[in-house]
Amino acid sequence: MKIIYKTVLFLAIPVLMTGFAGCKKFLDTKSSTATSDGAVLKNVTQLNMVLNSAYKKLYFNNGGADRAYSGLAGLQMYVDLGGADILSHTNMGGNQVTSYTFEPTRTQITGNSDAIWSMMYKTINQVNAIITALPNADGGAEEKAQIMGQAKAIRAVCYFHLIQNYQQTYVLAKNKPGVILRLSANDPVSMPRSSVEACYQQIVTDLRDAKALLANFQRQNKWTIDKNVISGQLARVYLVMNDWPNALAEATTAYNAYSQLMTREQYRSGFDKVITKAYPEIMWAMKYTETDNIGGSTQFNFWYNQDEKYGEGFTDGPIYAFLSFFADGKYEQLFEKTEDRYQFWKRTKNASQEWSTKWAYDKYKHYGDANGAVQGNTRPEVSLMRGSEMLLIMAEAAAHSGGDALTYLNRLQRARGVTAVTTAAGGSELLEAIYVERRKELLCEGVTGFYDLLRLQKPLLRYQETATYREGHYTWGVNQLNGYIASSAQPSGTLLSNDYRFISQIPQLEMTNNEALKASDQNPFSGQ
Amino acid sequence: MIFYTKSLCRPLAAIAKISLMINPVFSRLSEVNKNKWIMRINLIVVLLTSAILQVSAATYGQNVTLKHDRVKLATVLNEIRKQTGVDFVFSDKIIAAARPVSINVANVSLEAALEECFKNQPVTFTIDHKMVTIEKRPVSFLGMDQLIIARLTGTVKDTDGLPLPGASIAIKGTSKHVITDAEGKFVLDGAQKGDLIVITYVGFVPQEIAWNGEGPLNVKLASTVQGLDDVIVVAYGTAKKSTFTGSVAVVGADKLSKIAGSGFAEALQGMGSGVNVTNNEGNPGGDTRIQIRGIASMSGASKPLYVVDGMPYDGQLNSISPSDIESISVLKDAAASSLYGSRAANGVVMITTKKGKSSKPQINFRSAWGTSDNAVGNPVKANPAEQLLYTWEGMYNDQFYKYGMTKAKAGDWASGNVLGKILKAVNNSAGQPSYVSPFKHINENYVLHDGNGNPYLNPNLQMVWNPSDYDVNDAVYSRKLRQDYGLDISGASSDGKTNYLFSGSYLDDKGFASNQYFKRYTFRTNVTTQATDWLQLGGNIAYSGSRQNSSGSMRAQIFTTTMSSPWLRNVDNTDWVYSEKTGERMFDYGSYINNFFGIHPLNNGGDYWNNPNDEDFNNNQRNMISTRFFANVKLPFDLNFRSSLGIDNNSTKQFLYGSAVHGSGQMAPYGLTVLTSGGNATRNNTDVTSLTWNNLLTWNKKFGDHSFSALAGQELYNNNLLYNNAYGEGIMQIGQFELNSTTKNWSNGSFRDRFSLSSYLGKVDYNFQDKYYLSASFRADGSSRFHPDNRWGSFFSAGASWRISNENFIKDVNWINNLSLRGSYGTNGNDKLTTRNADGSPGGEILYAYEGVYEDDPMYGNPGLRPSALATPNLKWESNKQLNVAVDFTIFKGITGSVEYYTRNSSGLLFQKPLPLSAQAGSVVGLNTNLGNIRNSGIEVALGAELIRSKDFSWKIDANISTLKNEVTYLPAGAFTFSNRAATYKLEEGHSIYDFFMVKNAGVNPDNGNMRYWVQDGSGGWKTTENYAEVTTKDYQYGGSALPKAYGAVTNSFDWAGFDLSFMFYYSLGGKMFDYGYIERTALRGGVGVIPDLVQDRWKNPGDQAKFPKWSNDNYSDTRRGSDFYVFNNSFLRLRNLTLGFTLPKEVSKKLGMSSARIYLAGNNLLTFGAAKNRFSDPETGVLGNNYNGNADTDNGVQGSRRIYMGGIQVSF
Repeated sequence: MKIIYKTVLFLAIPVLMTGFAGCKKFLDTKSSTATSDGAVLKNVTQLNMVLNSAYKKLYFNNGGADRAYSGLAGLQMYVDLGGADILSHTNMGGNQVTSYTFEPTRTQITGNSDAIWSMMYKTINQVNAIITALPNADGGAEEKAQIMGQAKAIRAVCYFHLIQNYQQTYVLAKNKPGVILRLSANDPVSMPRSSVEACYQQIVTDLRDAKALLANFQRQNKWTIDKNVISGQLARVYLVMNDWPNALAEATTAYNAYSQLMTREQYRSGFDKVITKAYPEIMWAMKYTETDNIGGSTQFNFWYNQDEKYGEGFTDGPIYAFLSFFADGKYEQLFEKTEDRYQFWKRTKNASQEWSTKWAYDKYKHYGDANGAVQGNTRPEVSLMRGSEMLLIMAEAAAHSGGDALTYLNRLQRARGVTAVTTAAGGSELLEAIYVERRKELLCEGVTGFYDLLRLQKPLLRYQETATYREGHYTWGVNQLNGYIASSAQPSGTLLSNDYRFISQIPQLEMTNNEALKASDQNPFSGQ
Repeated sequence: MIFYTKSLCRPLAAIAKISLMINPVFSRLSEVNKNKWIMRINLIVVLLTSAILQVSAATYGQNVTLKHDRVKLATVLNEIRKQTGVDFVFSDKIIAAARPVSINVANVSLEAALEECFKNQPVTFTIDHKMVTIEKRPVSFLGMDQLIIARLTGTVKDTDGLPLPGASIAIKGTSKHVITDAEGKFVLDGAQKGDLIVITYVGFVPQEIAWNGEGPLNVKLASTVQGLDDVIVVAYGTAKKSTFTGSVAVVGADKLSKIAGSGFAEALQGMGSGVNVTNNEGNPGGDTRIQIRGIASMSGASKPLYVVDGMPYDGQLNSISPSDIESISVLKDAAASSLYGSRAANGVVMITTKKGKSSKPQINFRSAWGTSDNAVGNPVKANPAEQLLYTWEGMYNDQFYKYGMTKAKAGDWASGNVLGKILKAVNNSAGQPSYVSPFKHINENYVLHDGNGNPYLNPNLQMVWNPSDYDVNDAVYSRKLRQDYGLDISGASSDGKTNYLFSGSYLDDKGFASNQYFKRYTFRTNVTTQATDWLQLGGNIAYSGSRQNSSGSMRAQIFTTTMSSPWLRNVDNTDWVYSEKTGERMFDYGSYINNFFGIHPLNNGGDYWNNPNDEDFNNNQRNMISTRFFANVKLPFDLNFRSSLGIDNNSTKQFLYGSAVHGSGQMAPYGLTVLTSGGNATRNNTDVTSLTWNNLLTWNKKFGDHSFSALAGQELYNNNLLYNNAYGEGIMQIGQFELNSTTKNWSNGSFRDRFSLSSYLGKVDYNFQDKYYLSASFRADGSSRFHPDNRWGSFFSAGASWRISNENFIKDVNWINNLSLRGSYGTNGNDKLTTRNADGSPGGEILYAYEGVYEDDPMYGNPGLRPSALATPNLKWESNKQLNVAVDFTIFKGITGSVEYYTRNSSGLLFQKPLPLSAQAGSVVGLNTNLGNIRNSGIEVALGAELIRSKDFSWKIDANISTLKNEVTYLPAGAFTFSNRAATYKLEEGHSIYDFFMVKNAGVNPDNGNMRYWVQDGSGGWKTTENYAEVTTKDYQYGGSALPKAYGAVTNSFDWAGFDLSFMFYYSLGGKMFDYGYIERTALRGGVGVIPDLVQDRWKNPGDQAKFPKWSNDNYSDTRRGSDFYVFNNSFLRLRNLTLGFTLPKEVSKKLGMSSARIYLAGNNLLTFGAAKNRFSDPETGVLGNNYNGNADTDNGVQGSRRIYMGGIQVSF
């Protein structure tokens, strides 16, 4: 009897305890750190946090590819390394080198082509979540407008980079396939490429919507997009579209708010404190901080720009400098030795001729902030848009539409201490002068480089170093281009205008996983 | 029961219903005298049986001829009945106690035949007319020929003649028993002639001997290793190997003890068929990769379920001392593992810890000392002169061949620049420009040339070095002491009701590289007691604490040349720079070279617990408390109820420190000056508690020839993880390594994770006449990882086996001792969604796969949220259908073996399917889905043979081989390629999940020294190109799978006059490896030391037929493009273990006060054969077959497996 009683007890305890363990609750678990999507999408405050994170993706590409692909600041390297004015040593291998050399491996299979694609679409789909959810979310109309305006502006910035990197320039490729236009969180997983024309229309629409939504928005800092940044962005877009009146109008609007150009001292002290030192012409800028940074992978680390007194090794200076970037000899020749922007010198004490013969350039320098430690942290600030660029857009747009281009151009030249300012009143001579000025003023700000080569349909032309011209391009910057003959007196390499080697291929993982894309939708690897 | 939800509680309700049905039976029973009731049942059985056998007499008096070998008594009696016509009367219970009969008589009388049959039997017979009654032999009855023997003496030894102290000697049917003494001797009073003496000793085959009343009884017991009647540990219980329908590989303690690894997992390599073990980390305490019957997930994850003493174990494998393990069972097929349902998708490794055996307390002590080095030797780097000349050659090649300079000018250019390529100019103390290297600096070119492309070293150069100061491998590696101690005390109470074991062990393995070590203390207590007739209680508590130093070898070692020393020279190159604190040499962080890797090869040379030189460290400390408790209740109707609780707590603390003293900014006075930015400290703490509680009801019953057993149970499992970390910088004090000393840039984090399972399980086994066995099992699992609507999965298995050798038709075949066929089919599942990293390796587990969520992503201190997972409520269990057929045999008494064939079809695999890149958002890169099928199949053969067995000498061979075919059978998302460092793979239907897919190499062009590749020519054919830009994925071709086609081991064991010798060769055949290490060892690359032994066959001049292309200094990568050039057949053979032991003669050990003593020498991984070794690469790689040393998965890229030499003693008291 006792045993039977115990048996029943023993059998009953687990059955009961299973129940008390909370039957359903026992199997209900969830992350201690994540927030459910339902909660996020119905609340404006939470959607504003989604916007913060979208900015972070845009500026840092956190979780994505590094260096030349680390957000807008990294892309500045990528765009200009594809031009003729920067040399990259191979000392520190990585994507900044392949950007420079036009490595033939930069195809869909090696992963290089997916960096920009991924970075932009991850940002786009994140702001699409905001744009789709915002109308039905709880919150005030004013706050909603601010969030919607910034979200649309971010989307436009992303599409503008995408379309410049994945198809030839607007004026000759309007009807070619552009990129995939994803505009809503409810879009299907697989979608085809839209035309270049449709992409630009969307970019303009988004920016115009955003400008209206942010008409009364006062931003708190330089990294938030406001109406003036949007005007500047519209000016860039219209410039590519050759819509000169609109380009002029938008650039003028933006310039008028940021017309006080940097002084000689400001320019020469380097671009690493553009926010902290409150340079008035800075319209849009981001910063690296202790919590948000990409370690030693900024362009400030790649420029061989440190003070010679520190020594010639990459562990000698106040930052971990990779001794990678130099300015091209032909580029150096564009400058007057007395103008503000002339900051070139040679590293003659370096034992290697590969370094000692090249022009170091001091526009980007940063001495770390680790309390003066020999190896400090690279935490610079990066300008993303400034008044000078607007002035140059105004000059170019005016030159095409009969405005007073020379005045705008000379204004900048005089502000930079150029003595022999441009005098050509119009025609290609003036346009060429404006282009040269863009290169001199905006090097490595991500708006000239191969973007200008595509936009202006110019070829890339690089001259290799020779025994008599030692400050020229490294062999590896020339020998993978067209027309390279090692034995010629002055070897050079070129890519014809609009060559698809400037353009990225659609990434392999997109081709495989997007059922709306056929093999024929792929960009050619090279050729016009 | 209103709190039950519908879906979860359905099985629960069923159990409740069953218990309600049982209740009335119990209540009715309680009204009558239970014992009477049971007696009545027995009586009915006896009457029924008797009735069947009481057939009428025919020809009583006829003589009998019988010939049987080990058959049931009943079978013989039936034969006698047929021949003589006599009737037999007996009860089942009595006849069941009879021993098998071997008889060979011809034409003898009935009485004589019966006498022969009943010789040595616990039953006897009486003949009354034509009726033979069989009854229990009365113990107290004194027959005429039986005399009381006052004293029975004897000895018990093992087959090697060693005494077995603590063996139990009992008279069957009585409570009389004694235990042997230290010499294996015993004295037992009160035995009678004819008594059955039962001799038992755990780990040995029990013997029953009918004592004939004469002389001392000298017994030899045979070890039960791999015996047919071994009891093996299987899911939720034990089984006799001969009756088990499933597939299981069993490894005993004796085998495990031969491998001197950090944990048992390392020792499993080669021990069982179907179990592929790769020791892909050579550092002490490193992890081991185990695959049971292939890989069945898209992510490549193959981690089996570990079960310790019946309960799932979630801790570090290395936390368990191998010496605590009695045996390991690896459950491979569905019949064996299906009871573990969802958790058994990758097989189950069941670990059983040791328990007390004999009533005489036994004390075992063992200790071992040894050392270790690398199993595959390190290559020797070029000396400084060679390194200069090699670099010169690459520079010359660029200028002459690529850029078109003349030979003379190219040579001049190379001579003028080569030093600057390698070294950094410095100013010496006199202010003159100088270079610091193994040479005394001269103001001339170090390398000169003949104007024709041939360099030579400037004869004015003088060496100022001691080569060992410039040998980075010598600096990193050294043989250090490895110590291993264990002590255990075990025994049982004299009434046998309580057994106990206490053990402790200490391991201190200092490894081979840098300051690495693994130290572990373990303590374990195992107690089981029969508290009352019906209640057994037991518990098992283990504590393990370990400390590990994770420093070791790293890629920075490759990125050094002999042109600089790991230690800092002064700027005048006259002496070393010493720490003024410790007198140790300071490290050189690239002060004099141009290609410093960024990390010093002696990085992490410090230690959290002992860091006098203030070096960086990376340590961890793990603590494990693992407990198992159970209560076992005997119930009426042969029922048994067992409730078990297992709680494991594992905590890991990681200690990281970045030196405040050593670094590239180090300053005089060296060793005493703090770096301007100070040091930094990191702490990462993880604490995991897992709890399992199960309740099992079992039933065993035999009806005549029919045996049944059944099990029903319920189980709850919960896993709770707590994590926190913190980091800070600016430690400005020397000798302080804690966060409290940090001054700035703090960061921290924490989270908690939980997952759980609720399960119901059942099993039925049936056995008829020990010939036919059937089994079936069922399990239902509810997992927290799925949406409530898809939470429950059910898994089943069915198995059968046929012991052919027990059939009459084969009984007379002398050479077949055992033959059985078995087969099983069943399912198990998986709820673990493991992501796949971009490089193809398994990533992290997704615990909350069905929920759509956002994660924190702040910027500039402002809160941010980004999408991190898309909701997928339809996600469900993946299923794994397994088929297993096998034949087991023992022939010629000494040859045992089994042959098995299996298939594993896994479908609806849980996988994070990558979204098109354009559809990814935030950190969402894929959609969690049930996608794709994978099939694994193979044949497993295990053979054991006792070739020689004599009194003094024995020779045994054990061998096994397993084949594996892994194939993706369904991939709805389509094929895709993925790549990691230089290697590319393709995942496609019809191929394995790790098939290399790369461009084929076409060799070096003799004309210009460029590497050529096979590309499609556009018209269906192939052509070669030297331009890698022309290569696209459409030119890629398959290059074999990283998974081996077959693997296994062969073990030889010898015993001779106290000596024992055994050696095991492990082999792996047909796998491919991408040798990334070989790329770096054969390249000319800035900062990388050239390996002269490997690079002699390189192109230098037009016309050279060479293996390696022309060296280039300015385009290293173009000479080493990814292609099948670096994919090698990775078949290898390894002398996994060699052990030579000597057991002291009894007389000697007795004089020393010990019951036995053995000394031995052992070595692991002593020899390695195979192509990888010639490339200085270890053949044991990560699952991807790529030995790039960038992550823990492929640690062997630089360090390699270790070769361990040990010597030790094993003593018992």
